[in-house]
Amino acid sequence: MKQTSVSRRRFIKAAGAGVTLFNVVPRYVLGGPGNTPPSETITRGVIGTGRQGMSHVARYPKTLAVCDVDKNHLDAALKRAGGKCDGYDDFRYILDRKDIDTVHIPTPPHWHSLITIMAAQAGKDIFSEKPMSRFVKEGRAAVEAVKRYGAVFQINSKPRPKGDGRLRKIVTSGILGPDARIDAQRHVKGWFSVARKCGRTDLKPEPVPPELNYEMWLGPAPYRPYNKLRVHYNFRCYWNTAGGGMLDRGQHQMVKPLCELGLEHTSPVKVEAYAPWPSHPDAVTMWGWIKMTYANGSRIILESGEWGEPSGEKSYDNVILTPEQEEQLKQIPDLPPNTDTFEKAVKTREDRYCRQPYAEAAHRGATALHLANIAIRTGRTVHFDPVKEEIIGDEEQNRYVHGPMRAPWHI
Amino acid sequence: MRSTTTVHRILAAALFCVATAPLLHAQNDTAAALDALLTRLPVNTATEEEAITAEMVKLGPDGIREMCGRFKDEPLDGKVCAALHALVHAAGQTGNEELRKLVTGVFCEVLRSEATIAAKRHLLSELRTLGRTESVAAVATLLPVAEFCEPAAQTLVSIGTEDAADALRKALPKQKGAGRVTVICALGRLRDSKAVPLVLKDLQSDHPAVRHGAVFALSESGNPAAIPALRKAASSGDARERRHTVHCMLQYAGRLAESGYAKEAMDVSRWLMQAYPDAAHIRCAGLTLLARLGGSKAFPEIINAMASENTRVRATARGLVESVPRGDINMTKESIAKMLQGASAVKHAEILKLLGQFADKAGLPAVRNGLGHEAGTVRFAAITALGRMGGRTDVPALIRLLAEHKRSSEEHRLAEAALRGLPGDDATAAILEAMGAAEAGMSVVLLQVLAQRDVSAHVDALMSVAGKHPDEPVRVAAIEALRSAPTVGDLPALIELLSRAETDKERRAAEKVLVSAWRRIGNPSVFVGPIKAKLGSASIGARLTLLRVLGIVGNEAALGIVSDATGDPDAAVRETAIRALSKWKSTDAVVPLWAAVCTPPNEKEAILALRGYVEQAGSLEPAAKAVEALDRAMEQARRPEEKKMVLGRLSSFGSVAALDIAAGCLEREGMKKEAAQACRRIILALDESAIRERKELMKRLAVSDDKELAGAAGGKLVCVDSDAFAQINFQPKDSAVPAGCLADTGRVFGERGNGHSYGWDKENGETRDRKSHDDARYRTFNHLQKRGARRWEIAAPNGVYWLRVVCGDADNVDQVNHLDIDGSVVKDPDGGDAFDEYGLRVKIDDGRLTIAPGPGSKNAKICFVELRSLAEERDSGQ
Repeated sequence: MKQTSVSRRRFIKAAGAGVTLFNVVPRYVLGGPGNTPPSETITRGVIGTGRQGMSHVARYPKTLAVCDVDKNHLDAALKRAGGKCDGYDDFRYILDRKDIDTVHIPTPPHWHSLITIMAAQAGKDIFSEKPMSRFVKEGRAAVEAVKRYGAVFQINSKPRPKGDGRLRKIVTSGILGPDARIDAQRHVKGWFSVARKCGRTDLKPEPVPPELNYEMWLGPAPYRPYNKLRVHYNFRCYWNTAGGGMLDRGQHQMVKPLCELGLEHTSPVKVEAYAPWPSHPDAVTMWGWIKMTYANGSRIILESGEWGEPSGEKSYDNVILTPEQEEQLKQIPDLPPNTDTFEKAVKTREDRYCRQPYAEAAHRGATALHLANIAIRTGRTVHFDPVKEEIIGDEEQNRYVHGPMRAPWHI
Repeated sequence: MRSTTTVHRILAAALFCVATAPLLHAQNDTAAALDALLTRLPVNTATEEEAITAEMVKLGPDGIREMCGRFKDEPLDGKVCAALHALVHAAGQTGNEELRKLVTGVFCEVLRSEATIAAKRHLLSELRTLGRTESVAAVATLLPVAEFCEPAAQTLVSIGTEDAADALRKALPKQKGAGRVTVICALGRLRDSKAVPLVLKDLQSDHPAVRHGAVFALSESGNPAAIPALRKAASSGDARERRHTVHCMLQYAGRLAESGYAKEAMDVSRWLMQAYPDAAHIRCAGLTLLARLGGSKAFPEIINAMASENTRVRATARGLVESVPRGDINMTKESIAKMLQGASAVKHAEILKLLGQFADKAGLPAVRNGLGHEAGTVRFAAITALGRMGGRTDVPALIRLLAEHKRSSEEHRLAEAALRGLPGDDATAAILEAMGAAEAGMSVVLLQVLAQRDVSAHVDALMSVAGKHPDEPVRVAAIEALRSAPTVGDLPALIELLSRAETDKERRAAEKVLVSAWRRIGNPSVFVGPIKAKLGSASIGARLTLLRVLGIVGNEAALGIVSDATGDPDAAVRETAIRALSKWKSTDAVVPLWAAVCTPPNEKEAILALRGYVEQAGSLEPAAKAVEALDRAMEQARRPEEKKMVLGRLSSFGSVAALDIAAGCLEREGMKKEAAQACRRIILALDESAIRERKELMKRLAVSDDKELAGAAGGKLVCVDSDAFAQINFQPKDSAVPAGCLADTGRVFGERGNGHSYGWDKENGETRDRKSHDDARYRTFNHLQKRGARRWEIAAPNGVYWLRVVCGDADNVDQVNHLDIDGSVVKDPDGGDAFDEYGLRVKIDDGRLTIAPGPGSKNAKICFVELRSLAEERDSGQ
């Protein structure tokens, strides 16, 4: 056996160095009141550090790495995180790291689902910006990956209603029977910022600035020539990268009605749109209102308030129970409140009771909005099968359900 | 002299012109018709939409060619793009097969022609939704061209037919680099099994992206021939490639199963779990696949996973148990005992949870044994499971747990929950029986448990406890346990119980039971009769309770009884009756309440009755009747508190009469603020005719000291007074001036030749027209700070005006539009958005209105202003 002798002088030197090192260890390493010890800190990598992404960049050691394809964004994020936070220009380096527990995805929407899938494959939990996806099948693939790899997922949107609302409980408990009609409607008006998120059709190709890796920025999105008004923030206005105010704000606006009406697990069977005609194949255009009808008869009306005649619709709830059904309803225990934070969900491995929608709920919200956009783009009503997630009887519309993806990216 | 050749040339040209003139004429006609159509876009109604589509279709192939011909380079003409897109959607509609073939035919023609790259790329993207088999050949010709490979491959993927896959396969041998990756991935998206032999060698490519694409294409194929090669790739040295291959192989297992290779699919899943034993997420994915593919055959593996140390694996396994069809799992005492043999505490607890979930009687012995287990987690799981699957015989064991453990302990909480959940009415009977023999504290706990169970078959027994038990807490708990039980037949006994109740607590509990019964039964007459019969003989305390119940029941007979009680000699009874009337669910209580207001025995009851009256009168219909009643209440009210209440109710009526009453209080001390608030709310609800009817009053209110009231009145006046003093739109000089507006193009202040003098302190040519908003006023603007802070002014006679200012930029959100308007600062409430609109009353006393950027503003932009005269300045001459 190899033995090492240590002289008294060397020992004191080493111990001294240890004491010195110990003295400069920051508080967050040791834990204590107000500080989480490192073993319990849920670490994150932030992918996409533009305008919205910066709000996800916490101080080191919570944020171990940041990534952006725009060098200016990356530098700003590294400055904000401080400490030993690492910067990358390719998100796959973040997924490679074993010390990162969760990834935040505040990229433009055309990356959300794909990075969600790849992060789940790498064993990470995921906190994604809205919207969930760029097209329906992409969202479904993300949900499947989250489920398959046992990942925790939460989307950053408006919070779900905390309590188990009466209508939600009636619908989800099934006390009215499987074929019951629900005479209830939710009307959501305004805040879609539709005009602001309409695209322009007069953009000329421009040289890509040196700080931006445009090829990687585009990733799976169908190619369009670079123009500064197509990228940061303005990506919302073009179909190849997003879906206008409908998807951008709609994912927020759908949370409450979906939860209240107990529709977080399904999609509408019919979607009608009122919008100017014709739409544009590249640039997002205006719309007035959207009427979504679900299989049980309940409806959600979205109204931009920015174009056309008002819908004249209102929210209502005409669901009346018999005394026996009321009694039955009382006997059914309430579901836990939707109050868990993402970090709590990561620890408990249960994301169904999070403040913000879990993967399936987020996907169902986004799906309804995709269908609304398909109705606007094709100028006709969409009839949808919420189980197979396919449009019924319209081959052309159905091709929007499966969007194009540039190789080598795939779902 | 011209040469012969020249003459021949001229002759030939002339002949050509004569021959082609009709063709050219037709082309010119098509172009002109198309131009005319384009000017009509966009449209807002379905009728216009149908008409324009029909006209476009009428233009025929020439029209479509003309549209495609107008595509030159980026940016493609937006209107033509939209028009063609509309045609594509019309053609894509089910049943329009002929039109679809016509449109795709022309597109394919253009794809084969010398059109620009931008045009061809655009048409490829349109064919992605419109193309079918007949477009495959034309699209496939573009696969070898680098610029078109990607969109052409995407289009073929969308067409998705066998010949589309065939075209991709044929193109593959000639493709290299990025093009090869594109074609391979496209074959993957088509799940093309025939591509496997072609793609297998790409796993050895030097190019990582080619290997990446090949793994994807092979795994999507669902062809078992790829298994060995993919296994080899999954052992790759590169971690990222390995991760990708593992993911693809998990997909592959699913695709194998879809192609009928279930056994191979299970083998692939198991192989992956064995190859990566430490990767929890891969184990989760493998288990998920096994559960999906193997159903109950995967059950043992899932059970084992439930005992995993890894929380992610445990959570996944727990979730998967629910997905395994219950009928497929045959559990016996022996198989359960085998599962539990040598199991760790974690696994033991998970199995007990599972048994509880399945509620299979075969699991009962194991669950009962678990109650004595040394590990807490196992005991807890056993108690919970027992609550789901146990029965009458388990009641003593659970009660023993209640007795042995403190109320705050987990065991106590779980045992209570288990007793609540034990299935069967015989379990309820057993709990009731045990309660009879228990000491008072335990009896209360058991009665609380019973309150959560169905006790409808045990009402008499509980009534007996509630009426006879010597301890008050037990009696109260027994009454509470009845809450969901009594039927119509039980009501007399329940009312009798209430009338004989000894304490307030019992009466309150009985009141709750009665109210709950009323909500459930919903027939007032079955309540009123027995209550009336008991009311005369009941104690004072019971009478008060019964009156409250009548107030909730609230039918005509009940109203008579409660109204009579307002004249009772006992003050407490009178007060309770007035309170019950105040909350009456119909406005029928208004009459007895007004009687109580007019003839009160004392001040307190007068106030109570008046408050109740105000509450009820506000709901009278029609609204005029309500306002009239509130006017009476205002006259009757002596204290400011009640007057304020009246004002509060009045404020929900948008009527002139309500406004007159509220305005009459504006000068009354102690309620000026409430009166102003009421006036404001009433004004906001008034329609135009009402505003005109009270125009003078509105003008007075528009100059009120209360800013909110003045703002509301001013705003409403503006709506009815169409004579705007000036509407100025800030815009470039070349932009069209919006209807009803005067243009400001950034010139220095001066006479503009349109009857108004306005302009800037310095030349301000930073105007913009974004062309991205439907309303021209919102589309255009001028910067207030682009070249240093600028000040804008307009000359106007001294007086009070209503000013509307809209700031912002349709395309950008980089502005914070704080404004300084004649020295008053208005703040951008939200910043960082497109538009901000301000409406405010301004007083001009120096002949000019001045607008400048306010402190803290950033890149402020002004779109347009509207200035409307409210009232001439009375003291302008002083």
